[in-house]
Amino acid sequence: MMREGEQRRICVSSSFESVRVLADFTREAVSGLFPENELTNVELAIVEAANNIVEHAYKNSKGWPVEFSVDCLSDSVIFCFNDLGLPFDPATVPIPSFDFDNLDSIAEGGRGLFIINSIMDEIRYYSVEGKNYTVLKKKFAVRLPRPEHYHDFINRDGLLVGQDPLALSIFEETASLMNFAAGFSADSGKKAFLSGMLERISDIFKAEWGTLRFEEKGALVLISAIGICPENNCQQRINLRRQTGIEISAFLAGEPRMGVDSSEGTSSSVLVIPISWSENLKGSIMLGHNSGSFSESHLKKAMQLYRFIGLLIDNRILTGKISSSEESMRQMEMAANMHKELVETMLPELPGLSLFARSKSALETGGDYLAFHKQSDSVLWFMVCDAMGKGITASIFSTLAHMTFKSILFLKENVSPGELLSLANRIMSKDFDRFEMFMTALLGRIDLAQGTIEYASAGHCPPILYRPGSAVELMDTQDFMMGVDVDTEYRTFKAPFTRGMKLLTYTDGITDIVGPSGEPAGVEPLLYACEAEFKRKNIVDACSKIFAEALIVSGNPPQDDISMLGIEYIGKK
Amino acid sequence: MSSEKVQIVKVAKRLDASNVTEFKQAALKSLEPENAKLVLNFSETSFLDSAGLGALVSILKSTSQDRNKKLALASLSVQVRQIFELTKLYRLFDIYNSTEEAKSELED
Repeated sequence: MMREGEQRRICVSSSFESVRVLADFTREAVSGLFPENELTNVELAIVEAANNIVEHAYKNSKGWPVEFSVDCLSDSVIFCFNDLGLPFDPATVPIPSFDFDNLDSIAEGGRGLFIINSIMDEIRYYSVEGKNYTVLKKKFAVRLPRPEHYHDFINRDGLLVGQDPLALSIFEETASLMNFAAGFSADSGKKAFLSGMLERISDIFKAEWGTLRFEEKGALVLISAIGICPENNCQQRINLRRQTGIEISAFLAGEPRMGVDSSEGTSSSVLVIPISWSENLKGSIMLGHNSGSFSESHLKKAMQLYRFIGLLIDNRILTGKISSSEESMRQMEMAANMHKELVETMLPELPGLSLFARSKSALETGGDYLAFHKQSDSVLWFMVCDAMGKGITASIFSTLAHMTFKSILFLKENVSPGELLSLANRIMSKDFDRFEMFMTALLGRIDLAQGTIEYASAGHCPPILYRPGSAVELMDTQDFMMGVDVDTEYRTFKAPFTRGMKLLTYTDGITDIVGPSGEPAGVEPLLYACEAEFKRKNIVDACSKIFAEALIVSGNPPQDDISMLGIEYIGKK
Repeated sequence: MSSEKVQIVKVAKRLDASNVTEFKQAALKSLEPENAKLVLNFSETSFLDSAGLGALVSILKSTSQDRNKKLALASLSVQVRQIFELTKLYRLFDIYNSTEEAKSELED
């Protein structure tokens, strides 16, 4: 059995016989990691993906390389194929017909992608420099930590539907949903129904969930709602993911929980939505069943869902929180808007400089903050900071820092970036202590008359500097974060900044993006992107491209707040 | 009119893209005679991919041309059953627990 962190690789030549080798390799690698029925599914998905490569990428031509790796992570296994054949666009593959009464409509082939989509939790296809990558992720079944987490609504049989009309109607709708889950076609009526159903569920969670979003991605239908838990300002997220015909899976707070239900004697894969509040698991909803059509067992699950909802309604503590949080939600929206407007980055006009600033928060608002401050026609200040955490708490701190920096600059014209940081750190030290907050910041001053850049960093990601004709470099930054030590004397670094040079500062939302391998990307991909883009493009085009790519990898909204600030010295006209 | 004997064909341990062509040819051949009736015995099959499923759909379609021809699947293992359920294709086929059961159904 593979252990966490372990990788296994194999390279075979393209043929259907080799696909069997990959199947055996996969089974051997992941046996013990998944229950027996899941092993068959995983093997099947791998075989389908490999068949596609042999048949479509290589057009059945033998002897071409198919590289395959299996990575065991803490919560999932990543399967990665790469080949040198024709690139593949999953959007071109039609969804198979489920009109079983009409045999002519049932195609003989074209089922592979559907199977892969049904089995794997995440699927990505991309091509880089003539190499095609197929990356499949299968998450582990998560057993709820303790037996009591399997609420009695999971284990008890023969429950009464109850008298509560609301609960009864929800139960009925749920039953239809389960039925609906058994066969799916992209039918707008059903879509509307599903959406309505989810809104209904969302009603129950009123304050916790925000607007439902509905998107279709090829064979997938994704429904998600995002809300903020008022108690600890943490993001809660529910995603219901409908795959054509097969299952519903859902995750809360970004975590999928395929559960194992052993209540009926045999183990079956079900979908568990753990309901947590302030990180305490309060219970779970089971929503899917991995086999067959609407059956007794589905009915039971539907009943369980009803029971849960009943439980939720009965739970006075919870409902109390829900009603009080409606007001919090409204207040939070106002605060978020205010923060957004306060730190809205205005690009000042300075002859000879071209500027870029863009920021995207993981939540409604975030702790990243970017600003330019024009001191004179030849002096420009730039500031980037990142308050610990996400959401409203972080945004309050970045707003505080914003005002502090601005006030110091207003009162003290001839201040160096290091002095400015040291002062702000001192002024804000009590606030940092009181809220146990830390913040990274990078402040800089460009003097066009002298052709210099001065900067100081409080534990912030090192800026990237491009000089025409040489490789991009990371600039020195060593000092503590703000909030660590009130007496920190921040150093000011100085470098020439002349015509053609480009500077990029950013927050760790970019370098911490977790890529397909499950590891944070680190700074290398960013350096690589800068190296490639800065040579050919101006700062605005280059940064726009890098920012857009970061969002694609990180997802939108991103995993963490992402911000970039770029400056290019284009020279005076 | 059921002059043709029910034929039983044992499916290989794995039915996938690498051996599906010969399987399909053999099955189609045994369905050639008038009133042919075929039971596919899956008792030893533990794996089936979409190519195998596609062949089964194709074989089924060939029997649907002639109402006297019949196809049944028998003795599906847990794994194979799971794959049929995943793709919902179990709804297309007549599936029996044993070859005997399938045979007597087709002989009727």
